[in-house]
Amino acid sequence: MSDTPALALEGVRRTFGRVEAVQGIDLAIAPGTFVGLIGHNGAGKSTLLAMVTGILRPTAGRIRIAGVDIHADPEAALRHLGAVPEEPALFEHLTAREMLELVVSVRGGGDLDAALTLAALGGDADRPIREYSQGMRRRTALACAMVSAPKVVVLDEALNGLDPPSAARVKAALRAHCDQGGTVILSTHVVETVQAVADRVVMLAHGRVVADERAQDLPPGGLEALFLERIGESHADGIGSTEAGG
Amino acid sequence: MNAVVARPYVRRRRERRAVWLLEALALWAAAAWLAGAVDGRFASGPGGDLVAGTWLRVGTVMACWIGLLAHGRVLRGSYRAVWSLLPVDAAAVVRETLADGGRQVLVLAVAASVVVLPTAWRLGVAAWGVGALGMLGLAVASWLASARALLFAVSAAEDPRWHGVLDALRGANPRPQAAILWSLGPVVLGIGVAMVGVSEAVVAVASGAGLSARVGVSVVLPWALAGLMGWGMDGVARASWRQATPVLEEIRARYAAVENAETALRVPLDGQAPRLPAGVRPWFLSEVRYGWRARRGAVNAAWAVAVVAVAMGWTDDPSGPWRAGWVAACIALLPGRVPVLGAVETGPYLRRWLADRPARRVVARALAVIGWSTAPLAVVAVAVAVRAGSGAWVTLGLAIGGVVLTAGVSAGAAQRQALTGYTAAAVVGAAVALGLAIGGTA
Repeated sequence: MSDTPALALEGVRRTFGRVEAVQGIDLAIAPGTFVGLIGHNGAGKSTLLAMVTGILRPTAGRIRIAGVDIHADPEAALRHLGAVPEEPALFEHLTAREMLELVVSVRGGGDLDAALTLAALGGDADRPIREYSQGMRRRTALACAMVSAPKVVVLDEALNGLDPPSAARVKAALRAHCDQGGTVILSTHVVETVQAVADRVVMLAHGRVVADERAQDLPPGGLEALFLERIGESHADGIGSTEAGG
Repeated sequence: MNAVVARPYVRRRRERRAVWLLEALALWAAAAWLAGAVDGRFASGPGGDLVAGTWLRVGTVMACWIGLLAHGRVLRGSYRAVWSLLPVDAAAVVRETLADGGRQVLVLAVAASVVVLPTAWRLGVAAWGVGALGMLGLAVASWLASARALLFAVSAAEDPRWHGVLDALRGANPRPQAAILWSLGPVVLGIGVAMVGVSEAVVAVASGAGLSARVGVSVVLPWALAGLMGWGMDGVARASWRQATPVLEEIRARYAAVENAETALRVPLDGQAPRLPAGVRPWFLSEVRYGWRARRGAVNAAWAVAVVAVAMGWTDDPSGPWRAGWVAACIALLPGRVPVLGAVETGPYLRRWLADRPARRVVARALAVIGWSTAPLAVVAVAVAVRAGSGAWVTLGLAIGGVVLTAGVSAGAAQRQALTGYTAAAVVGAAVALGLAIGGTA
């Protein structure tokens, strides 16, 4: 396995006017790691992931995907990155199958059948995406992010709105991706999901990393206790036990 | 790579066909209005100036339209969110977008040429043909130049060498937004200058000068300009297209911050609430805040009616104050729709939960409508007083009567959620008032 981190953040800051949404984050994530990113509402998770995917530029700092600076050479960095933003971005007029074919063409390869199985759309895979429910759209976006098995997969609240069988299937696929050397960063409010599948837990509060732990070191239920300890009771309503949390 | 990029557009082209037609019709309407061409008057005018002016106006409107189209398609396009997450060649995306939108541009250019078709009857087909050819070239040049300018604006927004200029221009806008807003100005100016040449060529051919060298240059120049603007577009696209995603996100984030701050700001008439009885006060605040934040357009429409009323009354004719008064009586019609819409949107459960107090709400709604109408009404009265002296009392009386009547009807309709009823009453009222105004009836 290469020594180059799959994802490296160096002094990443982001301000919006006087608000410091992300306050100097340093992270190095090794290939094959499943990272659960948790934090209260407004902790800076989505802002951080928007910077990781190149959608938003950091006020300061560098972000490298498999050694490539996403903001200096986005096209090269995106070859190693699959992403599902909070609002899935899809061509509404294409069918899921056409959308996946397009992604495979652009990325130069991928397992279309496995992706369609992951999306679990059945006959609906040949209907236009604009006719899909929120859950179907999210499953399609997840399949698009995974179809070419990129080195890094970034998911912003991507399990929200999935029914339990779909959520279980996606979690198993993500776990398998990591076991094959891929890296997953999953932002969520759901501590049980993180504790069940993640190798590493990164906890954000007010734009800072307040905890960075190996998941296996935490006792059962330990993540919620850690959340309350590091972030406090005032934000406890920001976490949940189902994927429906926003 | 280009084939890959092109595929998603296949179905979209079919979907957009109806929109092309609408845009072409809208262009025709706007240009016809600008040119005074609806009844063909321009074609029977005294000669060259009028014809040249018409071609120039139509061409300039077309260039503006194409600039906005480029902004929507090349810069902000709804597909940006998808492409931004894929390692696609930015040049291929821009190339395909330009080719796709280019078809729409050609339709616009043909539509613009059709607008000035009456010149073919007046001045001859050759003159019209020369103009149409030049205009088509300018449409293509405008499309490519707008795309280039917008992409350049993205780079300039992040280039410190441009910060001084942008800071001088941007006003309250974020720097990148100012760059984007201003980038189309020079394009329209340049296309306008080239259009002067085309319009003069039309007049020259019509006056019997034939296809002189000057005419030739005027027609060829737009196509040369188009070629120049398209040259090296791949490089511009690779340098700026992907960079536009974080720049646009930056603009969105800045405006979101402003929007959040705005909800904490006071709205007009907030300051009047303490003067009202305590029972009415919260309902009044609820109305004026809802109206200003959710239906500001309808509230401000009172000012547009006031402007029309002033225009009607700005005359030495004795009927002026009456005409102004009848129009001013309509000032509250659109603001009056706001409480009714608010009531409909609130829904029965929420009204029950809010422990609605019917009498107080009726008063509060009527007062809000009167409040929104008072300043425009006063402006009309003062303007008519300046022009017609004591005749302004007539205007004031009619206007106050209209506003009070509208406020009462609005509050009653809101209580019954009778949106259709209010709208019908308002249309009938406006028709009667305008009929009386046009007739100058006392």
